[in-house]
Amino acid sequence: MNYIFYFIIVFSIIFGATHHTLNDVVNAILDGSQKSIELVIALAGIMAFWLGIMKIAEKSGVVTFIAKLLKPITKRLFSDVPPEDEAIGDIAMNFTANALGLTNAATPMGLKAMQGLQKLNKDKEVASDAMCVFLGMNTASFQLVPISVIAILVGCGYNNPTEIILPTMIVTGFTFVSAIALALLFKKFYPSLNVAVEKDDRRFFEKIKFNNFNFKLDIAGIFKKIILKVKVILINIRNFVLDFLFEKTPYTNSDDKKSDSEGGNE
Amino acid sequence: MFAIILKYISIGVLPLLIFVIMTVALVKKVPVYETFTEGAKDGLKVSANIFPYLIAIIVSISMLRASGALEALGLALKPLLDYFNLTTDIIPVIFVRPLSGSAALGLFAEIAKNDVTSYATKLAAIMVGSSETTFYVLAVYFGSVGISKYRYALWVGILADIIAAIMSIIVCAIFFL
Repeated sequence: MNYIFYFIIVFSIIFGATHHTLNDVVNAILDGSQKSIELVIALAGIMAFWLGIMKIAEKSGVVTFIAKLLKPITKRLFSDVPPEDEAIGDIAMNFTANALGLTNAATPMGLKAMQGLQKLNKDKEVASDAMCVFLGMNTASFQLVPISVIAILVGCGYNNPTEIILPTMIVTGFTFVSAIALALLFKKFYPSLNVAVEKDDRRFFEKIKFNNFNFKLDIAGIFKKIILKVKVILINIRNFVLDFLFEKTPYTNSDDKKSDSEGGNE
Repeated sequence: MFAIILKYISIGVLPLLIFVIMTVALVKKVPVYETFTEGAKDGLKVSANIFPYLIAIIVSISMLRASGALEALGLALKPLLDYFNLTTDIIPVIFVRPLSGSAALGLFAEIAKNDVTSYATKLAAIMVGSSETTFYVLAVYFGSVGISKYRYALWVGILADIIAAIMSIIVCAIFFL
């Protein structure tokens, strides 16, 4: 965006200077800044009204209700997520909020859903299939009422701004469906990480289904590894210090001792 | 007949949505007035957040238009644009849309400000309204959980943007030509 902005401004000044329109360019600066503040004021009124209504929708549980209705569909789309997982609900909530134009409310829900998906993710640096489908859904987000666009139309004095609602809905609906279809298609044909990991994944989910403290076990495993590593480092330091203090020059001797003490500790 | 039905759907969605929400709120005994004012408070904040982007885009594009560069480009591309019922204004919208939502909104505002009843305004409205900023969403969502390899998520997003642009052109032509 930085380069684009820089390029547009510099280019139009140069172009204006070489084409005898510099005067118009200067006028455009003054005119444009004035117009934009007028627009923001017009925009603010509709924005405020809509956000007020949407706050009511949030408080009265309309958003949660729609999300609940959508749950069966979301479940099917995310076949690799356990159906009772919290992430499914978060995804549905995120979609609903997005559809109603509640972008500010949608983002935290979406981030929460991502955290849920990350918990189930095998490789923490690589996106899982569920994540890719979710983000495909999100980047082509379905919009019921494009309120900011309507606000600008109203601000510019358009007399029938609601007439763009239906065409927008058709376009966004079509894009939304095709984005999900694309994501599912990619999922089938994209070289998945490797087969072994996928098999492992399934086992991982089964474990989650049958015992809930799987996550704790994982933490214990990590701790064990860390403790082991710290132990090895401490032993190395101790040996180094001992060697230094008692000046055991023959290396073979000290190496023997090191391995001995390591074995003893474990 | 069909056109009239479509028109009623377009007009009816907004009031119907508000009506349903208000009714549910009444049934659930939500303090409607307080809740409304609480939400409306954010409206000014949202507009204030958009303002810097709006002014940057509107002023810079106004300058570009005033310099005559946009017209020159339009003349060069005229046959192609005419074929798809486009104007030069639309081109930046298509490219900026996946990068920045506020910038796309600014571009749209610039088009609308120029001639609000034009076909370009309607097309831009549909394009901007049916989009989400792909790169921003990917960066924020993946960034929040520390994922660096996006796999096919980026491709899906870009393809969806292309589909959205093509669909906007088709649907807008059906509705408004």
